[in-house]
Amino acid sequence: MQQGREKLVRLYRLMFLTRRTEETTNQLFQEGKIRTMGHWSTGQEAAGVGVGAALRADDCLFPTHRAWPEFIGKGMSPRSIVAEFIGKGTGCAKGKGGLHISSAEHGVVGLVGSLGSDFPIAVGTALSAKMRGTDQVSCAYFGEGTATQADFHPAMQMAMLWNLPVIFACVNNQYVELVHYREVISFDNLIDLAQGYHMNAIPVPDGNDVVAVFDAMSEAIARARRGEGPSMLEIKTYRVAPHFTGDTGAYMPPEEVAAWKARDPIAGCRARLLAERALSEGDLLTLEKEVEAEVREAIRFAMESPHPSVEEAFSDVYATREVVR
Amino acid sequence: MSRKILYVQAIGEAFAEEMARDERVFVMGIDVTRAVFGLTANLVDRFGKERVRNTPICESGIVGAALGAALTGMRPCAEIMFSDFTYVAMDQIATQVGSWRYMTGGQYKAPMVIYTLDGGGMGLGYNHSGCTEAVFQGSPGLTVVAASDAYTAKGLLKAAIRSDDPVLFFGHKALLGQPGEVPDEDYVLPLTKARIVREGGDVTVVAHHLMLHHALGVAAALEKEGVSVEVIDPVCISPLDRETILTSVRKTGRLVTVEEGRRTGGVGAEISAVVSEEAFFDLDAPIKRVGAPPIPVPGSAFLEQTCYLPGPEDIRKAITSIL
Amino acid sequence: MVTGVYVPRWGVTMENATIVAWLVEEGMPVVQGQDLVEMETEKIVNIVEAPATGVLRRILVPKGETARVGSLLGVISEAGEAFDLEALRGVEAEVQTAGAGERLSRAGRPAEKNQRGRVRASPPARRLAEEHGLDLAVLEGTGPEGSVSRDDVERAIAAAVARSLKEGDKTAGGVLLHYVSAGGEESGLKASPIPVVLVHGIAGSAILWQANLAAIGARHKVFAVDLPGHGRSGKPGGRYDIDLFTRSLLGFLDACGLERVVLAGHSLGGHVCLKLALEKPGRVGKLVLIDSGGLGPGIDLGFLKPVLGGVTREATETMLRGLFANPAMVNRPMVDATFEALSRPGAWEAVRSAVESAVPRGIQVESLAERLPELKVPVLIAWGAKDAVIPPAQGMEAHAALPGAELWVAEHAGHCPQIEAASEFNERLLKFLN
Repeated sequence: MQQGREKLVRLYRLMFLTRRTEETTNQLFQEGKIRTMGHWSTGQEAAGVGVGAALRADDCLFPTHRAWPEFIGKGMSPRSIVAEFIGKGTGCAKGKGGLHISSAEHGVVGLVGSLGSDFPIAVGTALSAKMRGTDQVSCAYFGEGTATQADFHPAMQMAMLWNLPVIFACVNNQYVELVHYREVISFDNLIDLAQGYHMNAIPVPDGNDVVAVFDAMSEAIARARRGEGPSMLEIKTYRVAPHFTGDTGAYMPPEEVAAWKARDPIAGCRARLLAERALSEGDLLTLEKEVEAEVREAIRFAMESPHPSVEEAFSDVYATREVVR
Repeated sequence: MSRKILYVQAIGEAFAEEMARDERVFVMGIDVTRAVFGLTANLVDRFGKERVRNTPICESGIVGAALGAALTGMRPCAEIMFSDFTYVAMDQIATQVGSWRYMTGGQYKAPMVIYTLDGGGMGLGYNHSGCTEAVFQGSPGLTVVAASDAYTAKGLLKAAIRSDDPVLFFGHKALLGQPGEVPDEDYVLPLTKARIVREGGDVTVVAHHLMLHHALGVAAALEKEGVSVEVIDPVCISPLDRETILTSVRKTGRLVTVEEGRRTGGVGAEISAVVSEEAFFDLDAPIKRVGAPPIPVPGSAFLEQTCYLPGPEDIRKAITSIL
Repeated sequence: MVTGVYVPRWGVTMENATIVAWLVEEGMPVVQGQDLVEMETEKIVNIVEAPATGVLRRILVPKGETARVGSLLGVISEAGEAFDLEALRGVEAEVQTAGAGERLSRAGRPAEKNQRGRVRASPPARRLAEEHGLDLAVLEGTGPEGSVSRDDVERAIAAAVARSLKEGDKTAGGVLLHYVSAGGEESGLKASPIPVVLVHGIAGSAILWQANLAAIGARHKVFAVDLPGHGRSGKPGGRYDIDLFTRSLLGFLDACGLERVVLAGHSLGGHVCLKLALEKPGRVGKLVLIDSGGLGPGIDLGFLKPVLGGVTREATETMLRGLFANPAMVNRPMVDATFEALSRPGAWEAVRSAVESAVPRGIQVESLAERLPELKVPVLIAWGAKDAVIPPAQGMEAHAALPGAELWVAEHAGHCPQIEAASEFNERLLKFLN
């Protein structure tokens, strides 16, 4: 189908753009040219892109820390992401968020540092949409380890209590920071949590299939827009990258890593594009070259951008007045 | 024209008037339809359950949801019934609410109010009797106010609801039944301006909530003994109205701060530091702080009254010790 | 910060001084208190200490040249800091009228006042000024916000005492008695009602109280008298015994109109003060005995041997060394002043005669130890633990014999703890006096 083909190409491009942006930024880090902590999403791009791309620009997204796939899926440009990430004044948050990237224009409301604090905030944005009578939806996108945070519970409760248009999209990449998730969570399938709240549950067993993720998310979104309330997704995937730049990932068994690398979402999508003759090899190379160019331009822009001015440090603390130092 | 109403009624009127004025304003919290302390009494009858919204018991959930709503076009007022429970929502209040605008480089704003009640003296013990405004001093992005009478309560709460910035509003349980003159017409008070409640020349006393009224009583008694006390209601706990306090201290040369909260790291601690930095050479005597001791609030009402809560005698002693 | 070095006033009659030698080269660093420049007047040679820490940026008056009291000699500042010679010269007149030891770093600014008209001053500064009767309003304030700091008050006290420094002569029993005085009404400071009189030891003079005059003068009128035959006092000839000294001291008190005083005596001078306190109890309010004679037979006058052989500069230096546990205490001005005094006609004879009278055969002839219980006034006994002249044991025994007396021992000092441990001594003495 034309629609199906366009969707597949779009999703591929978004995933490829994500990976190349992350890899190129990581290189800057390895070369000592930038200074901050990166949480790369290598291997789980399908999850974030599938979720982000299914949402509208005016829907609210609260991402994980490993968030570039969902930022890019939601429509943000690499240049504004990288510029913000390295703290430049041209970043989407004028350099004051740093790795806490946000974009009101794209409905990326903000990235909290204490993961899980955003559960009720996401619920609040959904409450707001309902009270204002719009069909906007909200999405709290989180890793399985965050599900144990205190505010998960009242958020799920309030979502069900008030029948809110909010989606709890859990990406289970099997590792909670540096340990396997079953060391800190007592059961295998996070989707079981939805049962306790009588919430609509949508498992996505192959989270490396970007179309599967996109479709599952679209289903949840449609329900929410129709006023049928919240859903929870569990997207099963695997984090090939270590937890953060500087972490060696030595705690991840090599055979496990290798097995999942063989199921790489981007390679899989590429193969599918070719198999379904959605794009030729030549088209793909052209697309990929364009993406590379976009990424190079984004990096160049970010690196050449100036730091925020000193005054910037003291502005935007309040909407109604200046800070008294 | 004005009339006398109770402090709790002044708060109720503020909510009612602002909710009528702006449909984006709504109240959420535990039992707000039933109004345990009467703050939101009868609001639900007028505005319905969507806008007077009972929530599950979870302070951090309540504050977080209010933040989300505020970021996306609504103007929520989140209730935390006892100010002790603000600590349960600490991350939301102290980090998320106050920082969201800055963290997004000004893309979002959080026009919301978190309102709560301080105060002991009812024998409710260690977890329902606290005064917790001090810990939020210096929290970026927050405006922390304390309403010490009906007039201020209404004016401040209305201003807080209309403000595009998040406001943490502290009322006091012991003042709920206190009558006060309140104008008939619509009015708001500036959120960050202290007020001189009583003028004097010999010593400056800064006090809020119930302590303000104790201080005024002590000032009246001392006047008969020839001591002239200037009493200031700080109104805004953070950021402090330094100018009003400094101007007063430069005039009197002496300062006593009074709060029901604990002395250590309290509101008086910050005021002392500011005054000693900026008006050291105007001081004729050390600054004295009156506040509660570093113990939990005793469950015994007797102990609470005799050993914990600061009172007029403590204020008087502090003043006379530096004359 | 820029600090001017000015010619200080070392005596009321001093008008100018000649540079003997700069002890630091231009462009070299200096530390506050370090010996900076040696100068000579008609009366003495003395060393000016660096008034501040920094670099000696400029020497304006070179070796061999003469300058008036108060004139600018040099400039100390941070390396590379700009300074204004005009401005520094501008305060010369003030320095001229100020006393020795005064340091004016920039044109004096009166202290700032606060909104209620109170001078801005730190609480310690306020307290110190009040104790000394100083009006804060006339003091220079170099503290934060133009406030008067403790240092400012101490400087003002030192300046007031320096201004009050006087030298004079009285005649008693036909003998001219020279003295130096400080403090009291002339200083403008609050002074206790009872003055202090300091009496030096054998071969000494008022000069040896230099380290104590300023401290005592801050709170008391203080006199340091030259005994007959010593310093600049007259040399009547004949026998210089304890009785002569005691009579002269009494005569000095009468001539000055001093009804009742604190007597503080060192070595032979202690013996004299003790004797006077016993014979005229009504004239002595408190007594201070410093490594005092007259408390027992034991004494070792070996240190005097060099000068008894003949007064030379080297002999004087050797003699002085014997008085201290740390010989480095002896500095050039001390040697010069002592040598000058001993070189005066009749001085050497006086020393010889005093030795023969008091210690004819190597032991002290008169011991007043048994009469100590007659004393009805507060007594402070001060001794250097390393005194090689009069054994500390005599001081301990005297203290034991006097219930209520105070004892102060300077652990690291020799025969002259009032010099060798001057600041401790001063503090202890002032505490005793107040």
